[in-house]
Amino acid sequence: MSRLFWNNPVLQREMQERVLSRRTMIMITVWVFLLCAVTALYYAGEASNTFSNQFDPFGNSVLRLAKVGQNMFDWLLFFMIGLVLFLVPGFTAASIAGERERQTLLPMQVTLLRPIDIVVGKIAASVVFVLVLIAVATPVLAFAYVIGGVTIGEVFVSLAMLVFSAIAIACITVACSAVVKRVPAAIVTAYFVMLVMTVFSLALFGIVAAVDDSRGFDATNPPLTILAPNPVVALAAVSDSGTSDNFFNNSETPMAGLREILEETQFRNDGFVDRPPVAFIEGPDGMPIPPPPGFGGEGQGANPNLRTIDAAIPYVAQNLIAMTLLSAFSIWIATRRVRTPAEVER
Amino acid sequence: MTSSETATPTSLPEIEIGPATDSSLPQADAMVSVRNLVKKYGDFTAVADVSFDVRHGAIFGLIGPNGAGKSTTFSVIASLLLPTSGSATVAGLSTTQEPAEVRKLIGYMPDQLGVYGTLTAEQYLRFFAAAYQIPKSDWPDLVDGLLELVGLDGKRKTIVDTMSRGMKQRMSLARALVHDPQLLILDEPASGLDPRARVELRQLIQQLAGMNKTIIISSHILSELQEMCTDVAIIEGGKVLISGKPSEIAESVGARNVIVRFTDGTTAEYPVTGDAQQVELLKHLVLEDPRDVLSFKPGGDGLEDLFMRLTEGGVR
Repeated sequence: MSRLFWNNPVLQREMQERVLSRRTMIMITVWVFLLCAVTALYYAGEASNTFSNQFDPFGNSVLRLAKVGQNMFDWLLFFMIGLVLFLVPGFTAASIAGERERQTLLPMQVTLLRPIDIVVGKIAASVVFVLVLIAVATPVLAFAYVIGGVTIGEVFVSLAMLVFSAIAIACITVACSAVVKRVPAAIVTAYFVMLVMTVFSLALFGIVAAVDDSRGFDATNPPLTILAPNPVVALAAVSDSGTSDNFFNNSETPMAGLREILEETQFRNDGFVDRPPVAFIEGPDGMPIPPPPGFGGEGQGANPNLRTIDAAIPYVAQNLIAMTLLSAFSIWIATRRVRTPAEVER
Repeated sequence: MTSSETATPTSLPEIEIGPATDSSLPQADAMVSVRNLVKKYGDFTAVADVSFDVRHGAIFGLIGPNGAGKSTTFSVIASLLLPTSGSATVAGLSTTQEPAEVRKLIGYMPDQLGVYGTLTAEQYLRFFAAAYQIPKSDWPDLVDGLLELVGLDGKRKTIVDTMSRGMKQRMSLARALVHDPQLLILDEPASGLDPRARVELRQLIQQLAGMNKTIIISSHILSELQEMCTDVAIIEGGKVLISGKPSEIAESVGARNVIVRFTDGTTAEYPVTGDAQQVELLKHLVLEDPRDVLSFKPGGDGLEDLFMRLTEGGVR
């Protein structure tokens, strides 16, 4: 284990050559500057409106400020995962393809380094880079926490999900770098995979949902499994534990919008069929009437045969499983690709 | 018999190429033993039935045109390629069965230089020391010793990528020596070097041979090999045409020229392939040539000459 991580020569060399390079320092500086700029601009815009509101007879400024805090947190997370999706492939895609291009892979292969040492060293270097990015961004996130509307638990869980996603992205990018021989092609491939995981998966989910809606009310809803490899949706899912829903049930941020999609789909797939509007008709006492038999629900009308994978496995767990499997597959394929021809044939 | 001021025989005798000389050594004496090595890529045969032995402490030159199978043979010895058939052993260890043990014994310098963009000479060697699992406490002395050996002790903090090609070659050699291997495999080490760098590299290789290292080397600059190799094999079309000591090969193919220097300052080169030709030459010089002979010395381009005689020069 020590040889794979702490005493991994490839990791140590990558640290010297890339992670601690001037280029990386500039990237980190730009990253912090952008995060601070986003925070400052958002706070300047929203908080001034909140405090300057003279028509606030009920003293809701604190709640409004908390809303600013939550929205700022959402925007920061959205910005951070976006930059992680942009920077990690850019930083990592050249890792193995670059070794091939400058003909440094062969001298490494003839040493006592194992293919797994090379691959893990490359991934670990990217992870260190990401950890530095996230560590320097933490004070900015803490600012949102101080304003309010965000729990400390949400901050930690969100950071953990960000790190987890970044590690998975690094693994996938190293695999792209190992499979594709040229650096430019590896970069393009890595970004394409990121697009598939984020934009394309969301688009596919939307298409399936639209098709589903066009077929009327039935038991087949778009499974959230389509979104399982989407790190943005996963971050949205964990970044709000629901404590503030009572106050701010809106979708002013992309993350909140994604949460709404998740909640609605999870609700539908949690043993419910699509519900006709009649389910929401109020009764004489002003309370919603329970759904009639055959229209789903957790009560007597619930149909256990309609439970989907989303009901069996919560979305976040699906994401963790999908990303773990993708990472493991990526490490496996990258390790195979950096073997010597003799090891391939053996 | 003709004499010529241009010092070139008018025609070279035809040479019949027989099977490669059987230079097999007892297993204990052979540092490298290659037996009936065949490597095919689909229908293409890169190496076809190559066999040779390299003694402990020898400088063995593998000579052949581009595409002759030299690099493929080296890759098999370095445990990077599996042979289609046949075998290669290093110090009795099979390169296919015990590759990790073989890699501890060999230092491989491929024909392509591979250097990192931002590492200094010291960082570069430390990386490879770590890759060979050399204890960290040994690194400072190791780096000092290697840089001194290859004549780059003043370049410790220089970025390797900014060095001249000759310096990079020496760094590459230092890298191959990091784990103090018994066998050095040098694939075209002098390629692209200027004359001074080539001489320096040759001196370095001879110095390494003096340190009891076995060296296998390929090169296109045959005069370089002639001066330093104790044994050579000429390979073409994936087959060893002939192998042995350079002088023995010359003897066996009957290729021998002599350069005669006369007292008037002129020189002439004569073919003296057999005894009869030698007698003819002496008769000519004593009875027919009016000039007085000052000295005799072996002529021709040695290995280069042999190489041209033995190979067809076809590009594969």
